[in-house]
Amino acid sequence: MGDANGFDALGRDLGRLGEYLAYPETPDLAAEIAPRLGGRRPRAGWGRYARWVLVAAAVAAALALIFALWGDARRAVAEFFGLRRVAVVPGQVPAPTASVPAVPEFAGRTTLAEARPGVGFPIRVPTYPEGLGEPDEVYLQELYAPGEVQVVLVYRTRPGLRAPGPGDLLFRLYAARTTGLFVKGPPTAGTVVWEVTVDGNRGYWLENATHPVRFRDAAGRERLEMTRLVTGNVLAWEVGELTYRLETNLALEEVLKVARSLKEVP
Amino acid sequence: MEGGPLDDELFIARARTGDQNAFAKLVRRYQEVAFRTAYVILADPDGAADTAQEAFIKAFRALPDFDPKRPFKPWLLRIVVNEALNLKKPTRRRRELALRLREATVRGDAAPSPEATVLARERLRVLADALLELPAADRAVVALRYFQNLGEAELAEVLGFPRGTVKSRLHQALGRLREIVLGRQPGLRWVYGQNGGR
Repeated sequence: MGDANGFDALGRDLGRLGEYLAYPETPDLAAEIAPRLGGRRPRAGWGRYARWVLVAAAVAAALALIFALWGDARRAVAEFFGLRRVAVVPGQVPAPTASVPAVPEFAGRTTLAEARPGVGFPIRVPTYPEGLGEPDEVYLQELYAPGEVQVVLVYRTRPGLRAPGPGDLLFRLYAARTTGLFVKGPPTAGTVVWEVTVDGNRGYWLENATHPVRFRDAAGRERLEMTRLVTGNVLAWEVGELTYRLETNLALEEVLKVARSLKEVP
Repeated sequence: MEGGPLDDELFIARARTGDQNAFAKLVRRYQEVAFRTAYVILADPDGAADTAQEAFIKAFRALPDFDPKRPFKPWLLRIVVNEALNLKKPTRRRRELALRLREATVRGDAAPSPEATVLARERLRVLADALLELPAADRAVVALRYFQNLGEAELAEVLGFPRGTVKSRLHQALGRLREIVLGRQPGLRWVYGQNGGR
């Protein structure tokens, strides 16, 4: 910025003064304020959700960072959200095409009883809300590597239990054991991403999201047949070697209750 | 020490999740600029430390409102300046305030003769004393522009004014400063005079 109009010399000397000012030593503010932050997280404006943290209200910039890191830094991306097997990436939302079916076409229809012996991990089902009962549909799908599978439990509306919006879906619950990666995104602008905890396990919540979910297998190959377009809300979290995803139009508070109610059924 | 914007984004994103270590990294990166800006406005080391501390705590709490697409430093400095000016208003005490010069040889404009060096240092001394006579808001503008080397756009961001207003505020502040300097040392009108001197 030129400081014309007669202030050139004054400006020059002020610049010089800046160099020669004897500033007192800067105190170690980081150490001083640490106790005052007191475990408090940034005010997110959602009082009762104080334990949960907003990662980004406007996700684009944060996701741009992830995108920048993406190249060979999957670990860094995953750490960002605290998940190893699910990542969100930015970019343009593609229009649904034949390879991104708006209606997921599931394969491997089965029943809970049939799936249980072959899946290799305990299948946990939600016990909330009351009266939920058995899933309406169960799918068991292999994920391109020995022992890598996902179980999909589909719950549809029931008397007194329905999710907002069109359709009869209450929620879909995925439990996957894989060393592959579920790549979610890019989400639409305005998508809210929150970091949450589910029984002490880190996870995140995508709200008002319309995004494709793609799957990269353990060898890094993208499996187009697994690509789906998801519209609505998604809670993703990890428990040990299992990755859970819950897709729904229900609100976060309800979804967390569902997620925390998972019980192994003998 | 300041890192790149990419680092900032990473630390900010983590700090927004409540990661205090990430926020501490941001604090360490920007504590000097925050403290020094507050110090020039207040000319008081204790007040500057308190102000910078409060500013960082406010920044931490306000992180969800921060637009991560924008640079962090101007946003932080805006909080620092507001804190400093708010602290300044109620007290308005006239203490033994001073902006001292480092014990170093001040480069003059002319060849480094002993006289030129002494004169250059004396001129800065007059300027530093005159700065303290300025209203704190003017001092903030001067400090941001000349001590922190902020450009017009960043100044606008920190002060919350349109760029045109920033320019006129800076000129007003410089005009007042020149008036004070010339009141103390009329001979300096040959240097800082109405036509820019030299």
